[in-house]
Amino acid sequence: MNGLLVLFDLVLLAGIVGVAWRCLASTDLFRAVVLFITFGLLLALAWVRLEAPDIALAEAAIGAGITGALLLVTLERLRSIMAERRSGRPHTPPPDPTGPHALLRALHDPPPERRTFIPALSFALVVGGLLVTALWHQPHSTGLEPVVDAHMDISGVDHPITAVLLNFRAYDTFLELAIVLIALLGAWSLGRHDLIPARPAPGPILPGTLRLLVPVAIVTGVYVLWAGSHAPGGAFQAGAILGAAGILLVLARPRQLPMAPGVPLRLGLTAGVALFLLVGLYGLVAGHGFLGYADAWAYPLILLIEVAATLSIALALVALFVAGRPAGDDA
Amino acid sequence: MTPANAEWLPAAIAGLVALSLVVAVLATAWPRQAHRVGLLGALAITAWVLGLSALFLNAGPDPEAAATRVALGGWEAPLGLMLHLDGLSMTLLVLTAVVGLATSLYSLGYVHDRIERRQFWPLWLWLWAGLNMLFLSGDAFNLYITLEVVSLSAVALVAFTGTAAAVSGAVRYLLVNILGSLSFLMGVVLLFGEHGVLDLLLLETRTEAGPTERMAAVLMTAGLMLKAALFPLHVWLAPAHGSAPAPVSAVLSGLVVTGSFYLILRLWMGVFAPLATPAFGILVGMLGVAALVWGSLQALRAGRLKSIVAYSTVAQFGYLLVAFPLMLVDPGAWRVVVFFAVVHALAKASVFLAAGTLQHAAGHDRLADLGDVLRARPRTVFALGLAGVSLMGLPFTGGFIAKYLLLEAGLGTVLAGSVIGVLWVLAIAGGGLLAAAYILRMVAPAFHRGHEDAGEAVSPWMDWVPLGLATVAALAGLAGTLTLNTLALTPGAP
Amino acid sequence: MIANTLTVLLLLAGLVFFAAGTAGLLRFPDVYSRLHALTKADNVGLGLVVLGLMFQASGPADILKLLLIWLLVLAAGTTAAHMVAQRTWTHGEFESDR
Repeated sequence: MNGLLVLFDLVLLAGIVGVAWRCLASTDLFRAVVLFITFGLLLALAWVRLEAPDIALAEAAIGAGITGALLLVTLERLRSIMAERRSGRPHTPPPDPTGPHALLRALHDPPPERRTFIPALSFALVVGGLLVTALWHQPHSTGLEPVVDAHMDISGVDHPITAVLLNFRAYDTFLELAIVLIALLGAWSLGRHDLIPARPAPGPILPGTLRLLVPVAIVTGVYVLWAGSHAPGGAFQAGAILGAAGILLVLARPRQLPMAPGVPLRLGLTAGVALFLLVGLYGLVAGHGFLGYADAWAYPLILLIEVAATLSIALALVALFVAGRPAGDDA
Repeated sequence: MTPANAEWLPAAIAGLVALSLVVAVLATAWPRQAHRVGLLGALAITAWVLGLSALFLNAGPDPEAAATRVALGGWEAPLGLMLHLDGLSMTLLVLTAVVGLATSLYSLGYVHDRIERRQFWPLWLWLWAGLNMLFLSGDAFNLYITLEVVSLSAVALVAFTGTAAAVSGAVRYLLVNILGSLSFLMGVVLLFGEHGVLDLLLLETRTEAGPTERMAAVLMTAGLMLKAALFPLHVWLAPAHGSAPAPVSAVLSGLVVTGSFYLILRLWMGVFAPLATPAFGILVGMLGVAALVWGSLQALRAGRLKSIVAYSTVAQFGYLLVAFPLMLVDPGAWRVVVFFAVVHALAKASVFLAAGTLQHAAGHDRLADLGDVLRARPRTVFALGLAGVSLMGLPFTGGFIAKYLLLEAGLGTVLAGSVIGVLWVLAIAGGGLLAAAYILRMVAPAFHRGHEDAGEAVSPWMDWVPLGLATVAALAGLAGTLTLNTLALTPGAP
Repeated sequence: MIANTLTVLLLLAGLVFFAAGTAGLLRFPDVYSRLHALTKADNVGLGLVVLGLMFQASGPADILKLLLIWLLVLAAGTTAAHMVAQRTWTHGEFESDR
């Protein structure tokens, strides 16, 4: 049985390296994106084999799912710009000349040249070889597991990963939430997005499926969030699932999407960090330390933060998919 | 040391992090008032940092007791995260506050469009908060995350104007940053795998010169060198600065790059200290000499004002590399290096702000056509010259004291019998001459006879702030002793 | 014992369908026939795999979850296949950027 598992691991490893290689070597961008999504799924499988289901979940949802969607939508816009350039005249006047179009134009560099291939490969091999050598000499370390286990009873939750993320090292998690927000602020600073016209799907199948899938996605998202206190799951995974539901709705829109209202959208996007920070400030004032909780209050506060964070992450992911800021944000 | 001070210090440290974050979050949630939030926040953060430094200097006359560690959420290391304040971080926090306040005031005039203002201030305040958190962090993984906060907001600010040149510069900067961050993270992972802790002080007690430490040192240093634009990994610097808004260039060259350098220094003084060998020091020093020569030559050749200043950053950072072999001979020299970095950051930020004023007035920054504007704007030219004099290291400026001390350390190595020390001394002295050449190139047109044309009107903020900051940079020499004494309050460092 | 045998048999049968579907995807000449091979084979194949795994489930909750997975993949797969076919019908075969 053990031999079979080793065989499986080797096949998986070969698959990951092979897919990554094909993805990098592909001169066709669409093919590269599809291979990247495959790469993400294989990587999620590898995390399962490494007994890290939390990361596997996040990798599948964010690394393969949402990132794949972002890459595909970027590719779609890139294509329309390329077609525009080839035909020699813009087929639609860009509503904002400094908008996301400029970014896409800058991104579309020619594919890498052949002569960079050998140096890049040898560099990767040298660094990889050194890494393997360094890892080979490492002792089998349990890391912080014993320390975390010893403090689980006062952490407020039953899942060690959630205890580390939301209690012992809450500061890191707060900053990760902030990074999602900063990425969105950066994307928004580049320009407004155009009005999103309707894209009526031919036939009833897509709308019908969505009517079925979106509620399922919402229930799943809430479940994953809830499960985070005692099993793999949590705000990032739940936010990604809810964000995916939102992206599906944006993709399959039977009528023109209304512009998002500025103020509520900003408040929703900052809800996660703002609430986290408020709780942290309360901890500072009440004497539990910045970002600390009283033991008895740990669970409800963690749950509150996770709910707000899930909402903000889901909103931010959908907003990143739409790219530029909505016109309502400038009012 | 009064007990009240020692009691308040941890709360004041956590409070600084909290305050910077509150300002950033508030500006993000309320973009309509972002500039007012930003201005009030800038004043509050600066006041808080100055108060903190007063507390810190009063609390710790004993160098061994001076590092104050704050357990976030009440969880002590190795379980939790510790904030860490010592003389080194205190100095850089004050530097960040001074440059940050100047940049904020300047931005009041520079970013005047209502819509641009809404985008600029939240990003800038996140960047500032990120820098404060970076200097206060005492945990390897947390350092990675704060670095990400800093880099991501810096990238967004570089792309801020949204023109194709700005965006392609920003994308290049983004790729470099991601590569640097991943390299740094790999090093963190290696260290954690070997020693099972992330806290820097705990790591310091456990590291020795083994294969893991060597590999981690290479990965983390290379990643940070990439981010600090240290030669030969500087190629992203000029394109990123070329089209970034002036306040962003000032912060990028003055603070962000210095932040990465701070981290290299902190790691090599602590975790990687057992790995530093003379041969390694000479290699780094050689890179520094090459950076000095190459950066200066590029600055002499560049045709645009901001490119000259950007390349001068490459050259000036060569000094910091040259200082590495000196530190191996005279361990106390690291304080001089930090003082040099501080003076450089102040001067460089004011040069970039002055350049931004000129560019705004003239509508471009081609050196050949700037003569008219230079002649008509003596105040800005004076700021440019004053900061330039400090960069060159003429007597009585902060730059002079820093270079003098560096030179002294270099001569010390020569006297100690090191032949290669002669090269360091020549590089330090020659670099000053090259700096004089490219800085005179910038201001020379102002002294030619010719037509005067003030160009477009600029706000008083843009007129006066560069001058103020340049004065601070020049006067920094007077604060030399204070800075060196503050730096001496770093436990564990020689 | 019987449950294990059934699981192995059903998994193997499922794998045969997956293999057939993959072969069809690689070998068939146009989009429609490739879709035909892929969706039919994958749905039945996954169904068999899920059925096989149900014999290993620890309770009704697990069985229902497995069933849900199959139904969701059926719905998503069908919709995706429909959209690919629709797109090919209106826009013609996919063109590479190269």
